[in-house]
Amino acid sequence: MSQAGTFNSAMIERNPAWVQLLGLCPLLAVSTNVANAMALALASTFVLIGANVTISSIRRWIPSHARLPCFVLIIATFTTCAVLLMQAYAFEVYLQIALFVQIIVTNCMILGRIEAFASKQTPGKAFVDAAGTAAGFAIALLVMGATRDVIGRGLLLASLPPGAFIIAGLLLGSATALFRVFERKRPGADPPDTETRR
Amino acid sequence: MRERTLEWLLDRALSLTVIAAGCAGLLALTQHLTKPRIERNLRAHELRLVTELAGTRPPTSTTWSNQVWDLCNNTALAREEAAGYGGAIALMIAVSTANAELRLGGLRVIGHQETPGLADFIAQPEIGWLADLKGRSLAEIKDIDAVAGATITSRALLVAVSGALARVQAHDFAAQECAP
Repeated sequence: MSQAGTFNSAMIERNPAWVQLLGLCPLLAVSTNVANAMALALASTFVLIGANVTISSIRRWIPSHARLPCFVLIIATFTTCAVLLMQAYAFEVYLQIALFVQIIVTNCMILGRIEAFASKQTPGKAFVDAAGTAAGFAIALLVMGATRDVIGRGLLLASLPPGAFIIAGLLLGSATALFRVFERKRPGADPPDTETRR
Repeated sequence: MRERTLEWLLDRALSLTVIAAGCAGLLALTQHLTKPRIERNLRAHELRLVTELAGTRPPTSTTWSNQVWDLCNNTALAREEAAGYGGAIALMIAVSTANAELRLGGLRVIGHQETPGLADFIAQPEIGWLADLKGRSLAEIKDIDAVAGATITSRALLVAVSGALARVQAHDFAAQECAP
Protein backbone atom coordinates (compact mmCIF):
# COMPACT_ATOMS: atom_id res chain seq x y z
CA MET A 1 0.00 0.00 0.00
CA SER A 2 1.27 3.50 -0.78
CA GLN A 3 2.22 5.94 1.98
CA ALA A 4 -0.89 8.04 1.38
CA GLY A 5 -2.99 4.88 1.36
CA THR A 6 -1.55 3.75 4.70
CA PHE A 7 -2.18 7.20 6.18
CA ASN A 8 -5.75 7.46 4.91
CA SER A 9 -6.67 3.95 5.90
CA ALA A 10 -5.26 4.52 9.41
CA MET A 11 -7.04 7.88 9.70
CA ILE A 12 -10.44 7.05 8.18
CA GLU A 13 -11.16 3.40 7.45
CA ARG A 14 -9.53 2.15 10.64
CA ASN A 15 -10.14 5.33 12.65
CA PRO A 16 -9.41 4.50 16.29
CA ALA A 17 -12.38 6.43 17.63
CA TRP A 18 -15.33 5.98 15.29
CA VAL A 19 -14.49 2.65 13.62
CA GLN A 20 -12.57 0.67 16.21
CA LEU A 21 -14.09 2.49 19.22
CA LEU A 22 -10.72 2.56 21.00
CA GLY A 23 -9.53 5.28 23.34
CA LEU A 24 -13.06 6.26 24.30
CA CYS A 25 -12.16 7.07 27.92
CA PRO A 26 -10.04 10.13 27.07
CA LEU A 27 -12.35 10.92 24.14
CA LEU A 28 -15.34 11.28 26.46
CA ALA A 29 -13.55 12.76 29.45
CA VAL A 30 -11.30 15.40 27.89
CA SER A 31 -13.60 16.67 25.14
CA THR A 32 -15.35 19.27 27.33
CA ASN A 33 -13.58 22.04 25.39
CA VAL A 34 -11.39 22.46 22.34
CA ALA A 35 -8.21 23.53 24.18
CA ASN A 36 -8.08 20.40 26.35
CA ALA A 37 -8.98 18.18 23.39
CA MET A 38 -6.17 19.71 21.36
CA ALA A 39 -3.63 19.22 24.16
CA LEU A 40 -4.57 15.57 24.63
CA ALA A 41 -4.49 14.98 20.87
CA LEU A 42 -0.95 16.38 20.72
CA ALA A 43 0.22 14.29 23.68
CA SER A 44 -1.32 11.13 22.15
CA THR A 45 0.31 11.91 18.80
CA PHE A 46 3.71 12.24 20.47
CA VAL A 47 3.36 8.89 22.26
CA LEU A 48 1.90 7.10 19.22
CA ILE A 49 4.60 8.22 16.80
CA GLY A 50 7.43 7.84 19.32
CA ALA A 51 6.43 4.35 20.45
CA ASN A 52 5.53 3.10 16.93
CA VAL A 53 8.78 4.25 15.34
CA THR A 54 10.94 3.04 18.24
CA ILE A 55 9.34 -0.40 18.33
CA SER A 56 9.48 -0.71 14.57
CA SER A 57 13.21 0.16 14.60
CA ILE A 58 14.11 -2.40 17.26
CA ARG A 59 11.52 -5.03 16.27
CA ARG A 60 14.21 -7.61 15.46
CA TRP A 61 15.59 -7.49 19.00
CA ILE A 62 12.29 -7.68 20.87
CA PRO A 63 11.86 -11.28 22.12
CA SER A 64 8.50 -12.45 20.78
CA HIS A 65 7.61 -14.15 24.07
CA ALA A 66 8.05 -10.96 26.03
CA ARG A 67 6.88 -8.49 23.39
CA LEU A 68 3.85 -7.09 25.26
CA PRO A 69 5.87 -6.05 28.36
CA CYS A 70 8.42 -4.47 26.00
CA PHE A 71 5.68 -2.58 24.13
CA VAL A 72 4.10 -1.34 27.34
CA LEU A 73 7.49 -0.33 28.74
CA ILE A 74 8.27 1.73 25.66
CA ILE A 75 4.78 3.30 25.56
CA ALA A 76 5.10 4.12 29.27
CA THR A 77 8.49 5.74 28.66
CA PHE A 78 7.08 8.00 25.96
CA THR A 79 4.01 8.79 28.06
CA THR A 80 6.18 9.85 31.00
CA CYS A 81 8.28 11.98 28.65
CA ALA A 82 5.06 13.61 27.40
CA VAL A 83 4.00 14.28 31.01
CA LEU A 84 7.37 15.87 31.83
CA LEU A 85 7.38 17.95 28.65
CA MET A 86 3.83 19.18 29.29
CA GLN A 87 4.71 20.08 32.87
CA ALA A 88 7.65 22.07 31.55
CA TYR A 89 6.10 23.75 28.52
CA ALA A 90 2.30 23.66 28.93
CA PHE A 91 1.81 23.71 32.68
CA GLU A 92 -1.62 25.39 32.75
CA VAL A 93 -3.11 22.90 30.31
CA TYR A 94 -1.39 20.02 32.13
CA LEU A 95 -3.13 20.97 35.40
CA GLN A 96 -6.47 20.50 33.61
CA ILE A 97 -5.87 17.13 31.95
CA ALA A 98 -3.03 15.63 34.02
CA LEU A 99 -4.60 12.24 34.67
CA PHE A 100 -5.69 11.71 31.08
CA VAL A 101 -2.18 12.31 29.80
CA GLN A 102 -0.84 9.76 32.28
CA ILE A 103 -3.33 7.09 31.19
CA ILE A 104 -2.35 7.38 27.52
CA VAL A 105 -0.14 4.44 28.47
CA THR A 106 -3.21 2.20 28.76
CA ASN A 107 -4.82 3.46 25.56
CA CYS A 108 -5.50 0.31 23.52
CA MET A 109 -5.35 2.38 20.33
CA ILE A 110 -1.56 2.65 20.76
CA LEU A 111 -0.88 -0.93 21.85
CA GLY A 112 -3.21 -2.12 19.08
CA ARG A 113 -1.34 -0.31 16.30
CA ILE A 114 2.00 -1.51 17.65
CA GLU A 115 0.94 -5.15 17.89
CA ALA A 116 -0.89 -5.18 14.55
CA PHE A 117 1.36 -2.93 12.47
CA ALA A 118 4.52 -1.32 13.85
CA SER A 119 6.05 -4.53 15.23
CA LYS A 120 5.98 -6.03 11.72
CA GLN A 121 6.79 -3.04 9.46
CA THR A 122 9.66 -0.70 8.68
CA PRO A 123 10.05 2.52 10.75
CA GLY A 124 8.94 4.64 7.80
CA LYS A 125 5.66 2.78 7.37
CA ALA A 126 5.17 2.67 11.14
CA PHE A 127 5.57 6.45 11.23
CA VAL A 128 2.97 7.00 8.50
CA ASP A 129 0.55 4.61 10.18
CA ALA A 130 1.05 6.26 13.58
CA ALA A 131 0.59 9.72 12.08
CA GLY A 132 -2.64 8.58 10.38
CA THR A 133 -4.00 6.98 13.54
CA ALA A 134 -3.07 10.07 15.55
CA ALA A 135 -4.72 12.35 12.99
CA GLY A 136 -7.89 10.24 13.14
CA PHE A 137 -7.93 10.38 16.92
CA ALA A 138 -7.25 14.13 16.86
CA ILE A 139 -10.15 14.73 14.44
CA ALA A 140 -12.52 12.76 16.68
CA LEU A 141 -11.32 14.60 19.81
CA LEU A 142 -11.56 18.03 18.20
CA VAL A 143 -15.01 17.42 16.69
CA MET A 144 -16.26 16.17 20.08
CA GLY A 145 -14.56 19.08 21.87
CA ALA A 146 -15.95 21.70 19.50
CA THR A 147 -19.48 20.22 19.59
CA ARG A 148 -19.57 20.02 23.38
CA ASP A 149 -17.93 23.44 23.73
CA VAL A 150 -20.60 25.11 21.56
CA ILE A 151 -23.65 23.17 22.78
CA GLY A 152 -22.43 23.22 26.40
CA ARG A 153 -22.73 27.00 26.54
CA GLY A 154 -26.49 26.80 26.15
CA LEU A 155 -27.25 23.26 27.28
CA LEU A 156 -25.41 22.20 30.44
CA LEU A 157 -26.05 18.50 29.73
CA ALA A 158 -23.54 18.62 26.88
CA SER A 159 -20.65 19.38 29.25
CA LEU A 160 -21.61 16.62 31.69
CA PRO A 161 -20.63 12.93 31.29
CA PRO A 162 -24.09 11.73 30.11
CA GLY A 163 -24.02 14.42 27.43
CA ALA A 164 -20.62 13.12 26.30
CA PHE A 165 -22.09 9.65 25.71
CA ILE A 166 -25.09 10.99 23.82
CA ILE A 167 -23.02 13.30 21.61
CA ALA A 168 -20.38 10.62 20.99
CA GLY A 169 -23.14 8.20 19.96
CA LEU A 170 -24.69 10.71 17.58
CA LEU A 171 -21.32 11.64 16.07
CA LEU A 172 -20.26 7.99 15.64
CA GLY A 173 -23.63 7.26 14.01
CA SER A 174 -23.36 10.17 11.60
CA ALA A 175 -19.77 9.23 10.70
CA THR A 176 -20.83 5.66 9.89
CA ALA A 177 -23.80 6.89 7.83
CA LEU A 178 -21.54 9.31 5.96
CA PHE A 179 -19.07 6.57 5.06
CA ARG A 180 -21.86 4.28 3.85
CA VAL A 181 -22.97 7.01 1.44
CA PHE A 182 -19.40 7.56 0.20
CA GLU A 183 -18.75 3.87 -0.26
CA ARG A 184 -21.91 3.40 -2.30
CA LYS A 185 -20.96 6.34 -4.57
CA ARG A 186 -17.43 5.04 -5.19
CA PRO A 187 -17.54 2.70 -8.20
CA GLY A 188 -15.67 -0.56 -7.75
CA ALA A 189 -14.88 0.22 -4.14
CA ASP A 190 -13.22 -2.46 -2.05
CA PRO A 191 -15.61 -4.30 0.20
CA PRO A 192 -15.31 -2.92 3.73
CA ASP A 193 -12.59 -4.60 5.77
CA THR A 194 -14.86 -6.59 8.04
CA GLU A 195 -12.04 -7.64 10.34
CA THR A 196 -11.36 -4.16 11.65
CA ARG A 197 -15.01 -3.14 11.76
CA ARG A 198 -16.93 -4.05 14.81
CA MET B 1 9.60 -23.92 19.16
CA ARG B 2 13.32 -23.82 19.71
CA GLU B 3 14.85 -25.52 22.69
CA ARG B 4 15.28 -23.22 25.62
CA THR B 5 18.98 -23.48 26.24
CA LEU B 6 20.93 -21.26 28.61
CA GLU B 7 22.17 -19.32 25.61
CA TRP B 8 18.58 -18.73 24.46
CA LEU B 9 17.67 -17.43 27.89
CA LEU B 10 20.72 -15.15 28.16
CA ASP B 11 20.01 -13.80 24.71
CA ARG B 12 16.43 -12.88 25.68
CA ALA B 13 17.57 -11.47 29.02
CA LEU B 14 20.15 -9.31 27.27
CA SER B 15 17.57 -7.91 24.81
CA LEU B 16 15.18 -7.05 27.63
CA THR B 17 17.96 -5.46 29.68
CA VAL B 18 19.10 -3.31 26.77
CA ILE B 19 15.53 -2.19 26.01
CA ALA B 20 14.88 -1.37 29.67
CA ALA B 21 18.18 0.50 29.94
CA GLY B 22 17.35 2.48 26.79
CA CYS B 23 13.97 3.48 28.22
CA ALA B 24 15.58 4.45 31.54
CA GLY B 25 18.15 6.54 29.70
CA LEU B 26 15.51 8.38 27.68
CA LEU B 27 13.50 9.09 30.84
CA ALA B 28 16.57 10.29 32.75
CA LEU B 29 17.52 12.60 29.88
CA THR B 30 14.00 14.10 29.60
CA GLN B 31 13.77 14.50 33.36
CA HIS B 32 17.16 16.19 33.48
CA LEU B 33 16.25 18.60 30.68
CA THR B 34 12.79 19.54 31.97
CA LYS B 35 13.51 19.64 35.72
CA PRO B 36 14.47 23.33 36.06
CA ARG B 37 11.44 24.46 34.04
CA ILE B 38 9.02 22.20 35.92
CA GLU B 39 10.31 23.44 39.27
CA ARG B 40 9.96 27.04 38.11
CA ASN B 41 6.38 26.36 36.94
CA LEU B 42 5.45 24.71 40.24
CA ARG B 43 6.93 27.59 42.25
CA ALA B 44 5.10 30.16 40.10
CA HIS B 45 1.84 28.21 40.51
CA GLU B 46 2.24 28.06 44.29
CA LEU B 47 3.19 31.73 44.45
CA ARG B 48 0.07 32.65 42.47
CA LEU B 49 -2.14 30.70 44.87
CA VAL B 50 -0.45 32.21 47.94
CA THR B 51 -0.80 35.71 46.49
CA GLU B 52 -4.49 35.03 45.83
CA LEU B 53 -4.97 33.80 49.39
CA ALA B 54 -2.95 36.45 51.22
CA GLY B 55 -3.74 39.37 48.94
CA THR B 56 -0.01 40.13 48.98
CA ARG B 57 3.14 38.62 47.54
CA PRO B 58 5.18 36.68 50.09
CA PRO B 59 8.55 38.47 50.50
CA THR B 60 10.76 35.39 50.73
CA SER B 61 10.26 31.77 51.58
CA THR B 62 12.42 32.18 54.68
CA THR B 63 9.62 33.83 56.64
CA TRP B 64 7.91 30.44 56.91
CA SER B 65 8.44 28.93 60.33
CA ASN B 66 7.15 25.44 60.99
CA GLN B 67 4.84 25.79 57.93
CA VAL B 68 3.23 28.93 59.37
CA TRP B 69 3.76 32.40 58.02
CA ASP B 70 2.67 35.43 60.04
CA LEU B 71 1.46 38.20 57.73
CA CYS B 72 1.52 40.70 60.66
CA ASN B 73 -2.00 41.99 59.93
CA ASN B 74 -3.89 39.59 62.19
CA THR B 75 -3.65 36.98 59.46
CA ALA B 76 -1.43 33.95 59.16
CA LEU B 77 -0.92 31.43 56.39
CA ALA B 78 -0.30 27.76 57.10
CA ARG B 79 0.50 24.73 54.97
CA GLU B 80 -0.50 21.17 55.60
CA GLU B 81 -0.65 17.86 53.76
CA ALA B 82 -3.00 14.92 54.17
CA ALA B 83 -3.36 11.60 52.38
CA GLY B 84 -6.13 11.76 49.78
CA TYR B 85 -7.42 9.12 47.38
CA GLY B 86 -4.66 9.43 44.79
CA GLY B 87 -1.80 10.70 46.95
CA ALA B 88 -0.95 13.57 49.23
CA ILE B 89 -3.13 16.67 49.06
CA ALA B 90 -1.15 19.80 49.92
CA LEU B 91 -3.09 22.89 50.86
CA MET B 92 -2.56 26.34 52.19
CA ILE B 93 -4.99 28.17 54.47
CA ALA B 94 -5.36 31.76 55.59
CA VAL B 95 -6.30 32.18 59.24
CA SER B 96 -7.71 35.22 60.98
CA THR B 97 -5.87 35.60 64.30
CA ALA B 98 -7.76 38.73 65.41
CA ASN B 99 -9.62 36.92 68.20
CA ALA B 100 -8.48 34.25 70.61
CA GLU B 101 -10.49 31.71 68.64
CA LEU B 102 -8.92 31.28 65.21
CA ARG B 103 -11.16 31.57 62.15
CA LEU B 104 -10.47 30.10 58.73
CA GLY B 105 -10.08 32.89 56.17
CA GLY B 106 -9.77 30.79 53.03
CA LEU B 107 -7.94 27.88 51.47
CA ARG B 108 -6.16 26.88 48.27
CA VAL B 109 -5.13 23.38 47.25
CA ILE B 110 -1.54 23.53 46.00
CA GLY B 111 -1.06 19.99 44.79
CA HIS B 112 -3.13 16.83 44.47
CA GLN B 113 -3.67 13.74 42.31
CA GLU B 114 -7.37 13.21 42.95
CA THR B 115 -9.74 11.74 40.38
CA PRO B 116 -10.75 14.30 37.77
CA GLY B 117 -14.49 14.76 37.59
CA LEU B 118 -15.12 13.48 41.11
CA ALA B 119 -12.72 15.82 42.85
CA ASP B 120 -13.01 18.85 40.56
CA PHE B 121 -14.39 20.91 43.44
CA ILE B 122 -10.86 20.91 44.91
CA ALA B 123 -9.77 23.53 42.39
CA GLN B 124 -12.73 25.80 43.23
CA PRO B 125 -12.51 26.54 46.96
CA GLU B 126 -14.78 29.55 46.58
CA ILE B 127 -17.92 27.52 45.81
CA GLY B 128 -19.67 24.57 47.40
CA TRP B 129 -18.97 23.17 50.84
CA LEU B 130 -15.35 24.35 50.82
CA ALA B 131 -16.64 27.92 50.75
CA ASP B 132 -18.85 27.12 53.75
CA LEU B 133 -15.72 26.39 55.78
CA LYS B 134 -14.81 30.09 55.62
CA GLY B 135 -15.09 31.81 58.98
CA ARG B 136 -15.30 28.52 60.89
CA SER B 137 -13.25 27.72 63.97
CA LEU B 138 -11.16 24.61 64.51
CA ALA B 139 -13.80 23.14 66.84
CA GLU B 140 -16.53 23.67 64.23
CA ILE B 141 -14.48 22.02 61.48
CA LYS B 142 -13.63 19.06 63.71
CA ASP B 143 -17.38 18.71 64.32
CA ILE B 144 -17.99 17.69 60.67
CA ASP B 145 -18.43 13.91 60.65
CA ALA B 146 -18.20 13.27 56.90
CA VAL B 147 -18.93 14.83 53.55
CA ALA B 148 -20.81 12.69 51.03
CA GLY B 149 -19.44 12.58 47.49
CA ALA B 150 -15.68 12.10 47.10
CA THR B 151 -15.67 11.02 50.76
CA ILE B 152 -11.97 10.23 50.99
CA THR B 153 -10.90 13.44 49.25
CA SER B 154 -13.24 15.47 51.44
CA ARG B 155 -11.97 13.81 54.61
CA ALA B 156 -8.36 14.47 53.58
CA LEU B 157 -9.21 18.15 53.01
CA LEU B 158 -10.85 18.41 56.44
CA VAL B 159 -7.88 16.66 58.11
CA ALA B 160 -5.44 19.02 56.35
CA VAL B 161 -7.46 22.13 57.24
CA SER B 162 -7.73 21.11 60.92
CA GLY B 163 -4.03 20.23 60.96
CA ALA B 164 -3.09 23.61 59.52
CA LEU B 165 -5.38 25.42 61.99
CA ALA B 166 -3.82 23.46 64.87
CA ARG B 167 -0.40 24.46 63.58
CA VAL B 168 -1.36 28.15 63.69
CA GLN B 169 -2.84 27.70 67.16
CA ALA B 170 0.43 26.23 68.40
CA HIS B 171 2.49 28.95 66.68
CA ASP B 172 4.36 31.44 68.81
CA PHE B 173 3.56 34.69 67.04
CA ALA B 174 5.78 36.79 69.32
CA ALA B 175 8.84 34.85 68.18
CA GLN B 176 8.48 36.06 64.62
CA GLU B 177 9.66 39.52 63.76
CA CYS B 178 7.14 41.91 62.32
CA ALA B 179 8.71 44.76 60.43
CA PRO B 180 7.17 48.10 61.45
